[in-house]
Amino acid sequence: MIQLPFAFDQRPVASLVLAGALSVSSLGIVLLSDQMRNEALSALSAARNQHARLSDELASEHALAQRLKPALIQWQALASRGALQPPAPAIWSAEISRILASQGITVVPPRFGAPRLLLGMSDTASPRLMAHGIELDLTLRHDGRLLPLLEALTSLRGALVLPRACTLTRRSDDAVDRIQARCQLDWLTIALPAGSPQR
Amino acid sequence: MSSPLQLLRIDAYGLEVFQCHKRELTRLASFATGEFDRFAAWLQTQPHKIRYRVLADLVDERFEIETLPRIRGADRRALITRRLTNGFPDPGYAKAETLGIDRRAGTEQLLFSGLARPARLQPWISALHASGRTTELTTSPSQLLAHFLPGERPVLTVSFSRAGMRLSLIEGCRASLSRMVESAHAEAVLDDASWQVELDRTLHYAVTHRAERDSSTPGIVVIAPATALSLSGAATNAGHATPKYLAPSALGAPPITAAEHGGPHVRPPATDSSALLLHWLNCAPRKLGWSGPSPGHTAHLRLGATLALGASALLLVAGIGLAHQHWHASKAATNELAKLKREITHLQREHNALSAEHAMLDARPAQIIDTVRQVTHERNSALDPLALLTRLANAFEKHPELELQTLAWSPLPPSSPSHAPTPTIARVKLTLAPGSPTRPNPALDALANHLEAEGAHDVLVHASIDGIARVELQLPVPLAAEPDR
Repeated sequence: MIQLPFAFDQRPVASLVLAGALSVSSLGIVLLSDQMRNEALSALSAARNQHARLSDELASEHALAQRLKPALIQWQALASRGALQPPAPAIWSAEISRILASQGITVVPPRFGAPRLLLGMSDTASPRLMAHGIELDLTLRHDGRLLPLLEALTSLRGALVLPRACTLTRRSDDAVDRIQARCQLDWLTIALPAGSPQR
Repeated sequence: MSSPLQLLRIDAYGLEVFQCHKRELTRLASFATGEFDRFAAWLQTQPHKIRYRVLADLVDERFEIETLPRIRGADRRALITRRLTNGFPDPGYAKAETLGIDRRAGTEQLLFSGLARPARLQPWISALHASGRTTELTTSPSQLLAHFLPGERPVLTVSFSRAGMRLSLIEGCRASLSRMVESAHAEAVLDDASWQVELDRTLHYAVTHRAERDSSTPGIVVIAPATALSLSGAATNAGHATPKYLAPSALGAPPITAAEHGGPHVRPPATDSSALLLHWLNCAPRKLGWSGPSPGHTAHLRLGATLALGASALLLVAGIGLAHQHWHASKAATNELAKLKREITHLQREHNALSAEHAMLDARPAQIIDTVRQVTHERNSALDPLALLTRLANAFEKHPELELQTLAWSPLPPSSPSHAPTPTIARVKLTLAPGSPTRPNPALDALANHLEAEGAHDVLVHASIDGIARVELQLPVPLAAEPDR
């Protein structure tokens, strides 16, 4: 106990000082713990939001992956047919001429029309499905030659070849080539968006 | 086991501290008047658990009998408090006792008694309180005499101490008069008989004073052995009762030793009744005596400090409890946060793996899905020539008489511009050279029936005058097998 030069009871003062210290300590403890709790809850809330966002994104991606799986099989099939290569009308014309010649059909080398951009593929940032149309005007010895010819054409690589329409007309019985065939076909190709891996 | 008790005897010469143990009084310390600081310093050396009782052997003890209107409850307490405050310098050293109630007159007779000059007592009590001690009993010799020497008839008691001769009129269990003659102290009366003059004078005053209430003459009790007193036969109570002498030792007064001088017996005069009064002080009930001074600033400060300390302790406990809840919530949140972060890391890893996988693709997954859907649509809109021709051939084989001139097929045009062509329906146009172009032609009808049997619908047959029949129909065609699937 500190000795003072006058009579003075120091214990009440010491008690008051102690009470003040205890009160301040109590307040400090409560404030500190409250701050810690708020910080923890704030971090937890942020983590919950991040977790929910990531979960939603991942669920969407998983659903997309489920839909992508069969699409990718077809996509790979198109790629293996060469439909993802840049269009090459000149090469296609040469291939057509070669097939016709192999079947004994002489015809003026066919020419492709202007490519058509199919519906929903207008922007360059996404794959574009292009159709290159051609009309073949042929004379066949008999109608049984048509199906092998179409089979050979649709088996060509470099595009997905689709027969659209045909008109067969029987010529006079004395002609060597008795069937006049006029068929419309489309060569479908897919132009990849810029920046995609080159095949 | 009760805490130790110390007895403080305060008179005009100072303060003495005694302790009563096994019927022996030990004088622990003594302080002359004015040695308040030394007393305060001595108190600091004493344990805090000691209880204190005070015997104020001072002059000017005032007694007043008053008749007041009879009232009850708070009003009575307020009236008595006001009377004590007005009649005595410090109401803490005064009290009021009921002497009787006159129900018919609606009055109450009260005895107000107390110290008329408590200033001699106050410094000692203040020093005691300043050191953190409290007094459990503060009383006067007259109150002790009235309590321990009760009698049916009034008695004028005479006792001696170093402070002087005290004459106290005891009526029943209370003193109604007390007078101190300082010159006739215990030492002086050994060889000076003048104390009897003071006794006669006081007795005369008491008889006169009491004449209104009681005409009887009080008895006289002298607390001292007659053999020790100086007596004068001529002056002894002419016309009054004969004094009764009682030696203090006969009333139970213990011997006194002095601890501060190594323990030899203190030999007060045989006439001194201080030991007896201290013995009675030691045995007296707490309610005897005065309430004591009103709490001073120190007491208020101490009480406030105690309350503040208690409140702050409660606050600390509550704070710790609240903080515990906060910490518990914080810890739970931290644990959950750690678990969430682990899951987030796992999700991010999975997300990154999927993103890396998708980055290897030719286009974004959604674009690939849309493109493939469009390609499928285009493929479905194309007709399979083999399937178409097979169905037509099946019908024509049954009608060789019909000669096919032209055959045209194309996808069915959309019913509205917004709809894509139906993929599996072929629109077929035929021109035939039948044997007889007239209608009805059974062969044409049969062909139409066979075509319908193959699934054709909307079959229209037109016969013209040039011998050519035109047939239009719609024929569902199965989708061509996809060689690349």
